[in-house]
Order: sequence, then C-alpha cells, then structure tokens
Amino acid sequence: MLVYIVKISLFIYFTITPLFAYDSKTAAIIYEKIFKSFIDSEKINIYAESIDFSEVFKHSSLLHRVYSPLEADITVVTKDDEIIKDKTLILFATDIDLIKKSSNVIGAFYWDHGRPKIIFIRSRLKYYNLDIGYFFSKYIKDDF
Amino acid sequence: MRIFSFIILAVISLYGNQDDLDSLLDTFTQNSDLSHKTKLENSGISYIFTRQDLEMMQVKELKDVLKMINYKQSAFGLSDPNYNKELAFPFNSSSIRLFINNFEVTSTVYGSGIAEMGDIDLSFINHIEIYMLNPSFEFTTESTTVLIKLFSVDSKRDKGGKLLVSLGSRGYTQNSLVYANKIKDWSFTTSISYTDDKRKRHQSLNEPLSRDSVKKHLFLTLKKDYHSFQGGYFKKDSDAFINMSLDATPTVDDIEYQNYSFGYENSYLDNIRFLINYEQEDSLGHFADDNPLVIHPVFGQVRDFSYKSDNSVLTSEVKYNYSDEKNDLLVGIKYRDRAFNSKEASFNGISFPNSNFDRQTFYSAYFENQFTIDESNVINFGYQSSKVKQNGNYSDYNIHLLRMGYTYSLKDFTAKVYYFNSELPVEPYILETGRIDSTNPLKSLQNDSLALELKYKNNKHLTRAILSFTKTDNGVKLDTRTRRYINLTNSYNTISPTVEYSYSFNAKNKLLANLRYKKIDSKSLIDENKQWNGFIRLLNSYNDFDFFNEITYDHDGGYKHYYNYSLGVDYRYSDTLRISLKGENILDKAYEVEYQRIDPTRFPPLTMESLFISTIDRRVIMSLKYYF
Repeated sequence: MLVYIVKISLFIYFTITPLFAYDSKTAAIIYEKIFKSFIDSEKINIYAESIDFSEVFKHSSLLHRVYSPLEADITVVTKDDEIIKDKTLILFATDIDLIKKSSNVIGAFYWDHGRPKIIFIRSRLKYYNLDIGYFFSKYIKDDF
Repeated sequence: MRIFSFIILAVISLYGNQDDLDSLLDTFTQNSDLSHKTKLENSGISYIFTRQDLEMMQVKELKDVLKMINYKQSAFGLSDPNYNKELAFPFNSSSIRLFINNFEVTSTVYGSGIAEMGDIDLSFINHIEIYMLNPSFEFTTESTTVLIKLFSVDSKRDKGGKLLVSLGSRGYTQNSLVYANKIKDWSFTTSISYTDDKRKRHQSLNEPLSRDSVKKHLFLTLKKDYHSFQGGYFKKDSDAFINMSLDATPTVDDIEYQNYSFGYENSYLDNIRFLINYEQEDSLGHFADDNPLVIHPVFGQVRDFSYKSDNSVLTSEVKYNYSDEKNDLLVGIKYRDRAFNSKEASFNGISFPNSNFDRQTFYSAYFENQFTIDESNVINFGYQSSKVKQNGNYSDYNIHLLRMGYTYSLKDFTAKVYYFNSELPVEPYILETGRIDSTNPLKSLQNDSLALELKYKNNKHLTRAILSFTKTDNGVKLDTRTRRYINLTNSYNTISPTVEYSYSFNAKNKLLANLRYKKIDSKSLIDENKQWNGFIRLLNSYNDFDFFNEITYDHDGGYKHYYNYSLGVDYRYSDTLRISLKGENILDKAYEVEYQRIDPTRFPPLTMESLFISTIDRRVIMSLKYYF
C-alpha cells in the first residue's frame, strides 16, 4: 500500500517519502562519500541507534549496519545519549552541538539554518590518524 | 536590458561550475525541502514554495507568492473589506483559508483570518503550501477555494537564531528575530517581528490617502513527544485608505486590530489526533468625513462612525486515521464557536443598539477514504456535514461538503480529476448588519466545481495544465433599492484554464512560467468578466549570489495591460551574514484597482471620476540577515 502511494504521489516531487523529514536517498550518497574519504573498503560498518538513520542504509550498498559499536568502523550519533565515551571508537554526528560534547566525534553532517553542512575537526582526524584527502579539505576546521 | 540580464543569468546557470559534493548538498536541500511537505499528489491541486524558493525570492509577505493564483494585493478574497467600493459584492473571506502549521487563523467577523492577518511577516516560515479548491480533509475540512498553509521553521533544521533588518523606500522597515532550539526533550521556535509599512501616498481631490500600517507579531511553538503548543500575538495599526468615504476624502480613518491565539495538539494515540485552538480578537475603528459616509434612516447624515469589538473563536477537533493495504480512512468531528463578546458602535458619537446576533456555532462530522485500486489508480471520496447554529433572529441551517477525486499516475505522467460540491456559510459580518429580510433568509453560497489537472515530467521539464469550472448558486449581493442583502436569483459560472511550465537547470537554478485565463459568466451579478494573468520567474544561483527575476502580467478585458517586474540579489557574505536587495514593481505598471467615487453633496449623488491605484507600490528593500 505504502509503495503504491509513494509511487503515485511522488514522481513529480522526486524521492519523497512522507514519513521522513529529509531526502534519505541523497543523504546516503553523501554519507558514502564522507566515510569513503577515510575508509578504503568495499563495505563500511556503521553503528547507529537512530531510527531516522536507518533510512540511509536502505539506499546504500556500501554502508552496512551493525548492531554493536565494537563491530563498527564508525558510530553515527544523533543526540546526546547516543554518545559513547570510549576513545577507541570513531564517532560522526548529525548535530553540530555533539562535536562539543565528545572529543571522539571527528565531524558532522548537519543542518545549519536550513542548509546542510559538513565539518571535520583537524585535531581529531589527526588523533585517529585519518587522512580524508584533498577532496574534503575545504570542510576541515582547526577548531570548533 | 532586462531581457539581456535574463539571458546572462540563464547562461551563468547552465555553465556555472559547482563541484560534485556542493551540487549534491544543493540536491539534498531541495529534495529535503520537498520531502518535508505534507503534500501527497492525490490530495488536491497544489503549489509548493520551498524554503529555498522563499529565500531566493526574498519573500516577506504572502502577497509575494500569491501572484501565482491571480491575487491582487488589496484583495485577499473576492473583494477587500477595507477598500471595497463595489458594494454590490459582499466580501467573502471564507473562500480563502489561512493556516499556521495545523492551526487555522480565523476571524469572528469575516470567517477567515486572511483579511486581517494576510500580511504578517513571514520570517519565521519554512515553507508554504497552497491548495486550490477543496483539498484532502487531512489539511482542512472547511469549504474553501484557496487554502494557504504556512509551516514554521523548527529546531531540527534551524537550530539557532536569525536576525533580519530590512529598510525600504519611504522609510519602510521590517525587523525580526527568529530563534529555534531544543532544551532536553522540548524543542521550540520563537519569533518576534516589527514592520513599519510605509506606503505610497495617493491623492483624491487634493486630500492625501494613506494606507500605512504598523504590525507587531509574536509567535511561539513548543513541542515534546506527542504534545504541541502554539501561541501568537498580532497587532496592526493601520490607516484605512479610502474606507467609507464616498468621495475618497476621509478626515479620520484608523483601524486597530489585535489577535491573541493559543493552540494545543495531542497525538498520544497513534491514530488519533486532538486539537484545540482559541483566538481572541479586539478591534477598533474610527472613520470620519466632511461629507456624509452614509445616510441612515434614524441618524440621518452620518459623518462620523466608530466601533469597538471583542470577539473570540474556539475550535476543537478530533481525527481518527485508519490505514490498510487499500484504504486510508479519516474520520473526525469538529466544533467551532464564533462569539461576539462585546461590541459598541456609534454614529456621529451616538451609540446605536447592536443587533442581537452574537453567536455562530458549527458542529461538523466528516469522513474521507482514499482507496488504492492499483499502482496507477487511486480514488478518494469525502463528505462533511455541518450544523450551523445561530442566535438573534437567524435560524439554524445545515451545510455540507462533498469531495470526490480520481488520480491516474504513470512514471512521468499524472492526471487528476476532482468534483466538489460545497456550501459556504453566510459571513457573520453580513448577519451582524441586520440588513437581511427576515421573511426571506439568506441561503448559503453553493459551489459545484469540476477540476482537471494534467502533469507531464520529462527529465528537467515539467508541464502542467489545470482546468476548473465552477457553478455558483445563491451568490449574495446588496440590493441597492432596499439596502438589504439578498441572494442572486441566477447562478453564475467561472471557468479557468491554466498552463504552467518549469525547467530546472539544476537544484538551485529554475525557470517557471504560468498563464491563466479566468472568465466569470453571469446574467444577474455583473457583466461578463474576463481576466488574463501570467508570470515568468527565474531563480538563479552563482557562487555566493542568488538572483531572482520575475515579471507578472495582468489584463482584465479593458484597454490596459499591467506588468509587475520584480528582482532581487542575495549575497552570502559569510556563513553568518547575508545581504540582499529587492525591487518590487520596478516599472510602476502593476495592476490597478478601480476605486469608485460619489459626490454625496449632490442630489441625486453624482458619480465622480474613479481613482485607479496600483495595489503594489514601487519599492526597493535592502535587507541584512545575521545568523547566530
């Protein structure tokens, strides 16, 4: 039923799904590019608690969902209580404020006044010995 | 030169060099803007203005987007309560409904809040949806011909603040502060706005006419889990332009309007939504002229008229939604009470007794089902019945709304056909005048509408054609002989074809063109009325600059052709600062409204030469936006 409605409803307005407040298909492509920039692998293991983020997995063959942060290459955090205080884990956030709250959040893909933005923190990339390459260099900030 | 600038911008758009990821982020913004909509294709005929559209067009008020529906600035509905001189056509605001999020902005006097709050500052708005005719009951169950839904920004995408300072011609200023954030589990959006709307002065018999206004608006939403609160305060002090002055030379014309609103919505149970909304309105008006404003059977020549009123509207609604593989069912009940709590009015400083009509209450029940036949075919059917209870000398009556639709969809093509049968209640302000023949009560206005929409999308091209036909019965007019409101004896027909084309160069560069024809056919209401209306809009982005060019065209069968050319440039100086410049009605050839004048000192009163005044001033506005 949902499939029918979605198909009927949305060809004009691109890939809309009324259940989600963002374009998860394009988000999946952007996340693939971000994570691929420092993980050279055919499969990237992601741990994410958020239900919203689960939509991203549906549109990606590269990003693979795992159910423990210990199995993950990256843990995606969307709110305070998802932050894991284990310095061995690499965290990536969907909210800029989470960067302030944990030093193992290396960067974020977030909304800023209605616009999507990407940020990486130079010192944290260095701490984890991550090289994100020239393509993403303009998104690196010295501090936040 | 203008054509040249169009071409240059188009070329810039086509060959603009954006890197891959920035382009993806633009696409993500646009698609997320659209996915944020509550809209579904089979909900009705709609226009969407995304956040990006609103920003690029530098939209400040609703008039900036309503050009799409052949809107004239001074006429929110069929005519304008303050400026209308066509006394034969009572103002009918209920035909245009205005919502902020899920809460309707209403009016005790006029029915819809569009008349009094249709020009609020839109700084706090994320996107706008406009529906033609009666959309799905999911959006409103009120009978309407145009539904405007404003959606406020939220803390999810707009965490932080925005300070906007705008300065324009003749001392126009608009300042606002919008702030959204989340504290623990509570998310909130708040906005405060001040507009000093200085308008161009016109003259009648060497007397200046002013329509300046000062508007203050406060808005707040609070959300946690299944709770949602929304509150607002709006105050408008305005000069009423010509208003009641028959020869357009008022000596006093002041209107003060205040609106307080508080709404609460609860969605604790997955399929049930409860909503309650209370609005309080206070208004004052004072009009005076050297010549009589009206000739009253008791007071004689009235040169001074003032009023003060305190009204309220309480709305409450419960909706139940059920979905299975084939059906999407919506069932609900709704209660709306309009109360004229107190009112004082005086002619020449002497109070006159109020009519004993001070309450109008609606009890409504409705259902709608959307039935999915298969992947390409969806039908929907909705029915609402309302009991309208009134006091005073007016009897109760029933109105109904029937809505049927069919949507056929292929990969790139959609066809929709709708039939509506709706009744609009008699506006409270007409009942309040008491100028109704008690032996022959007014019947509610009835519309029978048929609408067809065809859409075809081919890669970056989108073409849309809309055809609507409406037969209106029980139109209301003022009988100039008896000075009483009566129903028209004959029906009248409105036919309106529209064609629209858009081309997306990429996510941030778009061209949109629209042409609409409207013909109103009537033997008893007016002479045949034909209107042509169209526009071309170009939105472009190059590096840190956003450009907006738009020209609208209006022609109403007379010898005049009207053009309204607007343009804007927005420069992103840094992540936190934007500077923009906007020009409205640059050619000073925008649509003009006829204001008829009568010399009441002659007997019989002498018809004077009409005034033709553009409703949109030529104006330049410079704005500065600071994000924090």
